[in-house]
Amino acid sequence: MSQTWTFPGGLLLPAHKHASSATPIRTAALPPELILPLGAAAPLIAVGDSVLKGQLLAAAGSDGLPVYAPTSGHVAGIEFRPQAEVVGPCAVLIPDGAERWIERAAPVDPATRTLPELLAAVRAAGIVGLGGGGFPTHIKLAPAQPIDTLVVNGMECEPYITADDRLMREEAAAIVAGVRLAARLLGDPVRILIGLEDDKPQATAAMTTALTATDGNQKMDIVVLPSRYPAGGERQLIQLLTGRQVPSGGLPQDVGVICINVGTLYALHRALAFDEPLLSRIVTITGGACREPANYRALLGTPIAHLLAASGYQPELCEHLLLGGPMMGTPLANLQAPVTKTTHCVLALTATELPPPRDPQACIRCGLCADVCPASLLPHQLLRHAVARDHRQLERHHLFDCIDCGACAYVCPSAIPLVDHYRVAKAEVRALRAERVAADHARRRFEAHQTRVARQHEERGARHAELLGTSGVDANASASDPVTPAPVATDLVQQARERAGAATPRRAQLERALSAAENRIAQLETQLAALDATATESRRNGLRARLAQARLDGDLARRRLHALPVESPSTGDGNPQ
Amino acid sequence: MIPGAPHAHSGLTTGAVMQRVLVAMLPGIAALLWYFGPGTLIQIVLAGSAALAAEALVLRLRRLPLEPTLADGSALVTGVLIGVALPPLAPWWLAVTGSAIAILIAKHPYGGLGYNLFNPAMVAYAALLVSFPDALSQWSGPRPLLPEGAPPGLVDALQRIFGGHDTAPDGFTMATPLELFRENSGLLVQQFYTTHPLLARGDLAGVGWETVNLGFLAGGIYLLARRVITWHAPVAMLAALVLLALLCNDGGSSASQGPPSLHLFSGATMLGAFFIVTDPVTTAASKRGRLLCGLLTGVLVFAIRAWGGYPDGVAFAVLLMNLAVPLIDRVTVPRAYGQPTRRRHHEKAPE
Repeated sequence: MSQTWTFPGGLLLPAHKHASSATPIRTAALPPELILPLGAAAPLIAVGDSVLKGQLLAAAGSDGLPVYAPTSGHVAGIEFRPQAEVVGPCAVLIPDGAERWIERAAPVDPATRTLPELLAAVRAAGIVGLGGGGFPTHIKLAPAQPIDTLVVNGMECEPYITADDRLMREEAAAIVAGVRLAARLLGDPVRILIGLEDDKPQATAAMTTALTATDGNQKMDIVVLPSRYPAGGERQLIQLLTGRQVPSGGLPQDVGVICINVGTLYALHRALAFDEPLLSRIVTITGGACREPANYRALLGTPIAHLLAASGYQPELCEHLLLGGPMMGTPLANLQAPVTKTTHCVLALTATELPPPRDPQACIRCGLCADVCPASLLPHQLLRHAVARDHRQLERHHLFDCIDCGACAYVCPSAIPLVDHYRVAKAEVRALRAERVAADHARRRFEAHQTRVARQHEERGARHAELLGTSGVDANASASDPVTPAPVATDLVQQARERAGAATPRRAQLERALSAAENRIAQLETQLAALDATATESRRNGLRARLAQARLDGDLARRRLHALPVESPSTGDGNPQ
Repeated sequence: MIPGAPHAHSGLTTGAVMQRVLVAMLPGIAALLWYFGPGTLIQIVLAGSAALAAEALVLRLRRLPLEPTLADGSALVTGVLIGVALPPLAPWWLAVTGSAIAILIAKHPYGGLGYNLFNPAMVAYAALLVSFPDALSQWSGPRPLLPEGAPPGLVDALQRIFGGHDTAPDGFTMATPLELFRENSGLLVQQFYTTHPLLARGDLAGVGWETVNLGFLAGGIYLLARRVITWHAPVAMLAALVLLALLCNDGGSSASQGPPSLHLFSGATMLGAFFIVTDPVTTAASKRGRLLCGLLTGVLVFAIRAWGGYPDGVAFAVLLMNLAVPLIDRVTVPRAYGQPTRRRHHEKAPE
């Protein structure tokens, strides 16, 4: 068994997994309709068309990958339908029950295909990370950096969810075959480590059997790790198995690792060995409000209500309906939302399983949150700075290394929705960053424009001089005619450089602040004007407050600029006195 | 704000945390009651109810709901800490004034629970100590040393506490081990320990006092086991005390500052280490910060005891450290997952 490491923090959570892990994966009956989000691309089918299973419906869905018909039937409509989080154009497919496949070429042994062919096939199959990330797999499998370790994620650390557990018990051989394909695509990494939590003995046994049964030349290690949330987080699992930390803001490939979920590897195997696009996935339907919790092999586009009904969903008992687990899931408002590639769990919880959230109380800085944070952050300090909107302190406290795992909020004795605060703060900081980038961009454009104008002016002056046949001194004199007293171009360039560079840092900084504030004012004014009657009062007030703040910032910068000692352009160094 | 993930919660409440703190104080309080009589209980009741009343008053003035904040027990903990710190037979208005100072001056003007810069109980104790130094030094002697063989009973204690000045503590009053040691001159530590009955009849740091400290130590271990506090601040503080005591212990001359056992098990050492320095609101945020905080508190406690104007220095040391916490928090932000290590950071810096 290979060496393992630990990650800081983490939690022992009640697993609640037995309810759904006991029964084999069921194949859901065909639903009355399938709802297939099409994305922005024009559909390749029209209303009324008959389609076959595996037929291409659109070249690129919302994830940029092709959309296929999960079964045969006819297209009843192409219309806006609500999905779990967005409303977008969807094809509505009425299955005919015949499950007629589109004509496919006989599968080619993947061993005989070249890597570019295989990658193209992965892309064509529409495979994304099925663990919840949804990142296109063909991109992940073509890393820009050398990979020495392939990490297979079979952890499934969030309570209630058992989709990967059941899949490993039932399809271990196919998963192992998928691992070998992924390894080949990654240039045969030195190590292949399969991470499993110790609460899945059957899955571990099945995977071990599958490993010993196949005689690959590649050595794979199954590593059983203690169940500790969020051990299944990509970054945490990589640290557990390799001791390496993915750099902040970086990717696993930066430390020579690629991490893929078992469900994704199963889909990879189906796609490459059987030429089957991704048409279905395993979804856990569980929770106390379901009489028969189970895992389903559900066609993409299946309305969630259909799966819930199959599991004996009792709406009168259900207090919380969640898409995903209790730690990172999102409330599901619309039961008709379709199963997508990233739908791994639907949780119907009763009020006793999940009591309604208490009213938050004051933070007493007890530090329990810091003890459980897997990213070694100080959640209580982050909260303080998030409430104060102190963005500099938020970045100093590494807000963006927060992985939204929710461990802090889970243990908080004051019941503070910490993760909500961080989400808002992250959005704010991102918006401000974007604003700054836009302002910088505008400033650069303005400077380039001024330089260009000056150059044209100079050229015109030179032409004049040529035409008049006068000396260079006169040309300069004519260039600075009294009507447009433009400074000499070199001076302008110099000024622009000074503004941009470190020559007069204080002035440049203030000018940047001023132009940023002016940009912000303009933006906010348009936004405020664009608000219609339906906009909430808090949104309107928020915009007004930000506008007032921007005006204050602008005034301050302007006043400070005026207060700066005036420098003559000729003093090249331009040091403020 | 729409409540988002996580939806699950451990069920732990602030009230439960405070309850554990109160439970953890029981062994120390029991030792106080046994050795120094029921006066401490009266002080706890007085200070506790005054703290709750003051809290209710402020909440009413601030137009905040009473129930959730009173029920979380934080004001009660402050009151109990004050009650424990006061001499058992101190007049009643000391406890009431102390609680009022803690809640009305040290806690709410800063924003209430979670926002106070200074530990309220320690602000109250320090304020009382500088305002009424005599009343605060009237500790009665421990049970085995009293001529009657027992501290005053409940009725007697009530009379003394509520009776006014004319029945001020008399024959019961006795110097604490730390006070004794301050006044020591010309005796080797060894001699001192054998000649004075308070120390001679104890094993570590004076009969009674050492048991009280052991009681608070036991409570502290309970808090550690229940993960209410972390080991960093207490261990650092006690380690600093032991180290400095060893460093200044010149083989036990009369000029030495007392053996480590004296510093560990007398005065407010254990109460301070496990119940005051660990106060989450006023201590540093990170583990490294808490280590630093505890360490410096220990240094200050020793310095005040050895070279300062007061026999014990926990309250002043804690308040001085509270002042330094914002700065400590700034320089002890832990390295987050995936952030460059310090070495790599330095290598990158010249770019």
